[in-house]
Amino acid sequence: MNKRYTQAHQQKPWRLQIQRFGLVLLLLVVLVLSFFMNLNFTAKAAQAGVQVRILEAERETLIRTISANSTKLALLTSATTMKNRAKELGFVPATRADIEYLYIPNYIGKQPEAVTIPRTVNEQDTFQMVPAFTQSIWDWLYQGTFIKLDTEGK
Amino acid sequence: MRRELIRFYLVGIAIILFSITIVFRLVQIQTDPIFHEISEKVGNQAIYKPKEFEAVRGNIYDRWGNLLAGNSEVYEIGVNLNQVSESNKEEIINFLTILTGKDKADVKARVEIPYQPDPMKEKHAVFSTVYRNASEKMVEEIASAQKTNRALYPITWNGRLQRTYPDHRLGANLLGFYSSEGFFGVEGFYDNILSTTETSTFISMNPYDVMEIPEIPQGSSIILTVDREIQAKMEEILDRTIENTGSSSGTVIVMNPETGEILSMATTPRADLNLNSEQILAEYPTQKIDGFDVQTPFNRAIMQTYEPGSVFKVFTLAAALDSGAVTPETEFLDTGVVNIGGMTIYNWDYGAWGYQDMTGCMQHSLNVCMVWMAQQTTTKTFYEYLTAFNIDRKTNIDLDGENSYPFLSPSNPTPFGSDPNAPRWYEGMIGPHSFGQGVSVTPIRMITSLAAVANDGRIMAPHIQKAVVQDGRIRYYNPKIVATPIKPETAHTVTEMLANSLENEASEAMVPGYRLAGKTGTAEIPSPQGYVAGQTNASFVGWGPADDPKFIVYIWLEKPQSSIWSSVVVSPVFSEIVENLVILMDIPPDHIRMEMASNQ
Repeated sequence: MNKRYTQAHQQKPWRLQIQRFGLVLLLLVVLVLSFFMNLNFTAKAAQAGVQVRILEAERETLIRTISANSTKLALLTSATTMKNRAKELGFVPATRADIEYLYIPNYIGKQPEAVTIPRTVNEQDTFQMVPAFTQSIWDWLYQGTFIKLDTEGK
Repeated sequence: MRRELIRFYLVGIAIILFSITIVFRLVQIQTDPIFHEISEKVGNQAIYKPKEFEAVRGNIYDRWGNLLAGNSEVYEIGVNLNQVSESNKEEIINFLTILTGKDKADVKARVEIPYQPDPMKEKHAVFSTVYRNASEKMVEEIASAQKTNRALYPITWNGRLQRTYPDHRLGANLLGFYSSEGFFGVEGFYDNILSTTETSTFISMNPYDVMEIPEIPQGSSIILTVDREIQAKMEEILDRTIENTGSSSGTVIVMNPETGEILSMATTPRADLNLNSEQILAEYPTQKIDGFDVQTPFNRAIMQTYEPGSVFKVFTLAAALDSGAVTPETEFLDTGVVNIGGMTIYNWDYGAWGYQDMTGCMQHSLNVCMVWMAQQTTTKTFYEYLTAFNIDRKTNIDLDGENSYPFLSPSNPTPFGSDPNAPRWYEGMIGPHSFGQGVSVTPIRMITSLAAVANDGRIMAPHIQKAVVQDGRIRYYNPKIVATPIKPETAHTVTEMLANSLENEASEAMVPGYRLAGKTGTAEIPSPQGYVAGQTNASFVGWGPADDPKFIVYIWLEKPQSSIWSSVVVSPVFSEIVENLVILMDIPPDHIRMEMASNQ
């Protein structure tokens, strides 16, 4: 024999109110949390963006400074400057009579100064930005949908 | 409704109304055409800014790594026009006038340009440049003044690189100069390698916009074959010689005959390359020559052709020996005059020198003997040898602006067309050609072809680039053989004969302890009216050590006044050059070199 059970009583109205209020509060908390998370992330992203700009400007300045400094050094050691400095220090150009030649086995002679070799910019090494950095959530959703439709042939 | 809930609902309604008001206002702002216009105008200008990515031009070094051309930082000083107001304008103008030393009216005109942010408008102006190429010190002065005076805040500056030549005039003729693009010399020839393309793009100022920043590779650097110390010494000797001899110009080239490397190339004039392009070019004025306006060549060594005279006799001798027409011992009876193709040719002193062997002919530089030597070689073979020496073409040295003059020969008799008055080749021209008249060549052509005699008969491609620093590595230039006009034995014989001729005449070109080979050349200067009396081109070519040449030197003095003879004005210069070269190149005297070789 089938027995049917039914609730004998309803929950008290104040409990129902508390539950609803709690639910609304929970939603509010989630909303506020996501708002602050969003604010936090975007602030960090903005900070990172600004930092990138600053670093980029610094890099440009440094490239200029490095190039300029090597020229400053060359100005300080130019042929005329070195000649004048040698003169001031009491040196005189050597003549054939001043020079004595010695036989030194394995002497390889005067070696050139090392020339700075700049970094290579290869295609593979260059920064390739993935779309995730530039896509909005809508772009991502639309694109995702189209890709899905395409793969399904519709 | 319970009383205590009324307040609760009222607060709720108030919050809802406030929210609705905010949303309403937001929608209103978004849709209001005035706000829309403002955001379009101001917003886009603030978000996107044009930016130029400047490529760093590559450096130029000498063979030892000394910087010959680099970049230094200069600044462009100006004012942000939107920050200029009536209250600070006068103070900015006064400050910039004192700082830059420019005329106050000029500064005022620059500062008072009306601010116009709209790029679509004709007078678009957001920044006004007041002074270009400012030094670091000037910028520091501005920064220091701005710390104490807020009125100067609108003054700002942008750094950029400017081409700088640490040695100013040193090697100016071979370096060329840079002014938005490379001109002449290495700067002109290797312009595409030294610089890379500049890029301009719009950069978003919105920090959320992540964008790829173009990466501009630096220009490649070039290491030259030139030795800075040798170049400086050659220029010093050349300048002093020109002053002492009253010559109108001069050229000295030092080359390694084994590789074709240019160790030094000194010419006059040489401008200070740190000046601006107008000032540089002003040092190479246009002159009237034979009724034509001719600009002073930037680099005479490769750009100016001239009749070289007796130094050309080396080719005639080499051709005659190599073809078997003569041997060093062949005797010639010099009567002092010869007639060829209706042209009467005399020796330089109008004298007859009697019996001479071939060394004697070279030692006394006898024109009549050279004509006979060319005739013995036969016209066809003589010109074949000159062609094999590449006399009829450019050297293709890696410097901008090389010149050549058409060579009249049986294979190219009418290079100036069929006009009967135009110069053309005829049989008699073998006469003057045999001793270097009637043929016009550049000093670089001469030294390159003559270097074959010092290098076992091989002509090497002359070059000034030793290596290129590119793509993160150094690529070295491999010396190239261009031609082999004569046999190694002939080259050795010619060197021996020329070394003997210097010793026999006790030439002032000799250097004690070193056996050298060389030949003087005194050439008359042609004009539309014939050869000019009393004016010559004095040249000298010499190489050493004779048994294993490490250098070849070519000297040309244009119109020397102290004496017209090369043996008087140029031979001592060659001697002085070699005296310095052997020290700078660490070449010991012959007997020590032999001892060292036997020790090894």
